Amino acid sequence: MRGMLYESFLLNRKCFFFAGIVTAVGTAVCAIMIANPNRTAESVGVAGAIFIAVLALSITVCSEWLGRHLESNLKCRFVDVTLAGGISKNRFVMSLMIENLISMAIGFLMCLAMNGVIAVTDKAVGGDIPFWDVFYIKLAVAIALLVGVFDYMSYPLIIKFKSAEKAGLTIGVVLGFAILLFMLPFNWYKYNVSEEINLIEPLRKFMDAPYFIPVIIGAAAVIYAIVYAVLLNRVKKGDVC
Amino acid sequence: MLKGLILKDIYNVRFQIIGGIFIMLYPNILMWFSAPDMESQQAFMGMPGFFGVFVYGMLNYMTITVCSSFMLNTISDDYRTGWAKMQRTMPISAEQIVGAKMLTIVIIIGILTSISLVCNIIGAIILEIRIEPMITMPFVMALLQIITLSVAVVLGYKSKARLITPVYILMVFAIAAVIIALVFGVMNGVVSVTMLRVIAYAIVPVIAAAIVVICRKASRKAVEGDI
Repeated sequence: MRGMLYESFLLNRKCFFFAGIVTAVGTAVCAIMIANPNRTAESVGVAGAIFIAVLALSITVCSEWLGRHLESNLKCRFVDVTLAGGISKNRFVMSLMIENLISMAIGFLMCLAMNGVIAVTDKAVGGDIPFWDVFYIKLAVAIALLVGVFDYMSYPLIIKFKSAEKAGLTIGVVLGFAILLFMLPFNWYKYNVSEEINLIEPLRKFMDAPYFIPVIIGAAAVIYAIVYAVLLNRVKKGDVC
Repeated sequence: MLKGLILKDIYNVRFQIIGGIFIMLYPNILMWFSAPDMESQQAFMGMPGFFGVFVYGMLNYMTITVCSSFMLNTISDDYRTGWAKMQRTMPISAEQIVGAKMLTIVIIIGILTSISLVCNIIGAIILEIRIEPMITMPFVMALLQIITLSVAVVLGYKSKARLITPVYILMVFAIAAVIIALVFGVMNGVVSVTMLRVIAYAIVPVIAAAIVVICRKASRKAVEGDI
């Protein structure tokens, strides 16, 4: 399994390099906007929005290679060779999960580094924006787990379609319309029955609560376990490539 | 032969195009049901009608860009499967190969632009946004995407599909930066509505036509040289 992990990460190290560049550029842009002596509340708000966008982008770029790597391994029959070469099906599926988790961890570490640089920049200019606040670290953890879970959920579809693009598109369309079906009745209720209903406040309270990280890690672990079982079942059926 | 090449490319990405159409519909449906929020945001921005135009402009750009980017996969697929060499042994000229690719891109962007246009018109009626920018924006975004894809096609043929993705991403970000700069220009009064009309109705179509002609010639030379 260690060999498989080495192979995956060595072949796709350019992705992490590119994610590093994206994080560095985003950090530089935010740092310049925050360190600007003529900064206003609006420009700090824009910097904050760019910061959160770059957080999500770095983690997404770090995980971008996972689906394509599985697709190329399926198309060149490396998966068949690996399974015939003595790697157990459990170990193979576990290696896919470990690749996913390591990529998320690398993305999360890049976000922490970015967070640190911007917090130091803000302190250096005498600012009072809490960029090193626990909220942003929790946000980075949540985004990393969300991206990891979505990527991992696409693996059974990648095996079915033999295409990472089609699998990602299917997941995106299904999840998008599921969110739409949730939001439409909520919007209708808000504008026709009671305007007091609000999703942002409960979400913010949930993020501020001390149980936020254990709950999202627990939810992610459950989803990972379910997808692991589905993947293992599919690989055991055989004829993966 | 040309029809066959066009159908081959469309068949290659039909799943992605249908998925892309669903992805286009999703934010538009969300927008149609956010009428009260749109009115309050327009009041907040202090520019009646601007917020809706801005949001729909970025939406059109993102949806047309994302949903037509799949066309670049056809070039990398051609090289990966060996079709790029095989087709040169057939009685097809480099002109036809490049022409078919560009025509397919125009057809797909045309379909996506029509869907954006219909969604924009429905949005303009429901959200009471000015109709002129809502009709113009899909065409301008389509022309910008044709420029991006034409350049990516040239580099795809010259580099055997190696440079497509980085060049495409850079061009998309560059064009998005120009659009955002124009938006800030309008908000600060630096760019007038007349200037925007000149850019949309004159400058962008001329630049798009010139780039398509140049890229077509360059692609043809790249395909002829690639034996």
